[in-house]
Amino acid sequence: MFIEPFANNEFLQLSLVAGILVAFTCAIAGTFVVLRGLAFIGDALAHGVLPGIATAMLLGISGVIGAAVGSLVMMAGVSVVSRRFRLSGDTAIGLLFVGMLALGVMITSRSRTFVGDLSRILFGELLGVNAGDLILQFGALMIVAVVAFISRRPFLLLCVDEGLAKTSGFSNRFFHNLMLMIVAITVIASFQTVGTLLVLGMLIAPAATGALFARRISTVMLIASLVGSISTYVGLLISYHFDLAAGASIVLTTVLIFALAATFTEIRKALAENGHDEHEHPHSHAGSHVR
Amino acid sequence: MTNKPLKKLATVFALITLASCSNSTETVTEPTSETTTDSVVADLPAIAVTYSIIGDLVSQLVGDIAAVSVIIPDGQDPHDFQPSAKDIETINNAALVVSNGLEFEEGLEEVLENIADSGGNIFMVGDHITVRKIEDGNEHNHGDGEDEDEDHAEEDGDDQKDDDHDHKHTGGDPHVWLSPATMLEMLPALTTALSQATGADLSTQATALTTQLQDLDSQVESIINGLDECNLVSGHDEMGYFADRYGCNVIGAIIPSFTTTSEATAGELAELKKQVEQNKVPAIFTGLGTSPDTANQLAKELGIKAVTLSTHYLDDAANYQEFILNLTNQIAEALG
Repeated sequence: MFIEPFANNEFLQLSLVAGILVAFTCAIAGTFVVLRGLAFIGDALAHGVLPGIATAMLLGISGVIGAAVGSLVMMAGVSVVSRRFRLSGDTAIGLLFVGMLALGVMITSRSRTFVGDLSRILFGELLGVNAGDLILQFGALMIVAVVAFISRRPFLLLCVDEGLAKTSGFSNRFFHNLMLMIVAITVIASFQTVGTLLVLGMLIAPAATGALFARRISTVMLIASLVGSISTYVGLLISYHFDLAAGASIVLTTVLIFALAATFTEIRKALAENGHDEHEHPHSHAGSHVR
Repeated sequence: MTNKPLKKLATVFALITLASCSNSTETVTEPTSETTTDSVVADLPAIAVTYSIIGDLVSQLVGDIAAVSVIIPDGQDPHDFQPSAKDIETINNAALVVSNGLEFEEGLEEVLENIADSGGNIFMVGDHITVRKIEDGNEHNHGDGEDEDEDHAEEDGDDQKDDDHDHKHTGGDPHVWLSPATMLEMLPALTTALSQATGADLSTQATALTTQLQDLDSQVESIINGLDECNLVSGHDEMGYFADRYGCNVIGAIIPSFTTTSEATAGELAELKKQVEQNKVPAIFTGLGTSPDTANQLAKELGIKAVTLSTHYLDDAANYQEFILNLTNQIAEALG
């Protein structure tokens, strides 16, 4: 029931490994997304790669290269719009996001050769993963891990205190862009597995869960990896036993785990507060209501 | 310094736009036997057909008497295709619209409904044939032991479709063109509709085409009868009419649904694997709308071949007859 589906079906084994690799990659990049508030640009990148992927497939070259180009265009565009025209980063991201997505839809809708459904790019094909995909995913994980490790101090400072980062001699812009780059790499590598839309879920929910319980970046990443991996396993089981879409099941699981974790912390907080009230000195806080 | 990123941006956008532009002009200017470019023959009655397979049959009937336009270009998934404003205009201006019916062209549903509601001329193939329907477990008994799962899976596929589109679901298999016998069923009614729209007598052409289709039917029959076993596994549940007519068994499909807009699930794939093993199927067929990666992985795991079949558009075939024969020969070769 819990092991047999995987033991009997190689495609499920491959999906599981791919999902776990995605989970680890997203845990690293996602921790920075959550701590630094990059969710919107993460979402924009996830959609912005669409015309790149579509064009690449049309031209018969690897979708990954197309995604890489797409994300470069996206980031360059955001940079130009927000700095040269002095519009807020939010607006710049929104503009590029929608523009790239529309372009992607146009390209896939009018192409004469069958390039692959829009929905397949957005939602991935986890059940069709092959060894080549796994190698790619592993490569991406290595790059993201190495970059994050080397840049750990500036990244930490950027998340915690931008002002301090600047005075510490780091170029904020450079490291901010580097951070965006590892998010982009994560999106580019993962679109073939869970799809671009759902990568966002894997980036945010597990790391958000981690952030509920931990303050140290490494701990958040660890929790995020665990949550992501468990969600992959559970999601695949759900897809198997209930005949539901795989990618979506996994991402929904990550969000549900977050919901459970959040509820748990709320209960924990409420219990702690009650306990605190009972032991409270009657005159410890002016105006406090003591029963 | 500030001009550089702008220039880079402009170049990349230009490249992307060029790439998409070159594809759209391809669609418009490349003439095939049954499509016409925009405003070529204003005097001939305009017939709009939704996809190329039926379009070819229509062309064989009307010949030069009418201007036949095919709306969905080859290579686009007809289950999915979204019309442009131009497409809708072509449909609205046609003397007759010929469509598949049975909710095949999901993206054209509303347009076609509007035509019907406003009293326009629309012919739906599905109205003039014996529809292959799903019923609870009995309607199509093919092969061993996959009935319940197939029906269950098909109903799930239908439920998914229902969630996407708020209309009543008829539950009929739309892949009517895959059996020449089914095409023969609707031919008289189609001829009448075309005669009315063009004002011409098409009985000679209809008789000729009828004979050809009957020959085709016999040819396919003999090819398939030459096989020891005809067990079909396809990308989505598309081979029903073919299987029913020529005595093949539909073992299952990667996407067990009448439409490609559903997704494969781990449970259904695992079940399909079991069925393929049980029935010792030598090859699975994949095509438009199915993930080639999923098909290849499945084939690899089972140690069998994955063969790409073109089932929803003419592709290289010159006409309907060639299309069906190519299909049949590919199937026979893979299963033989």
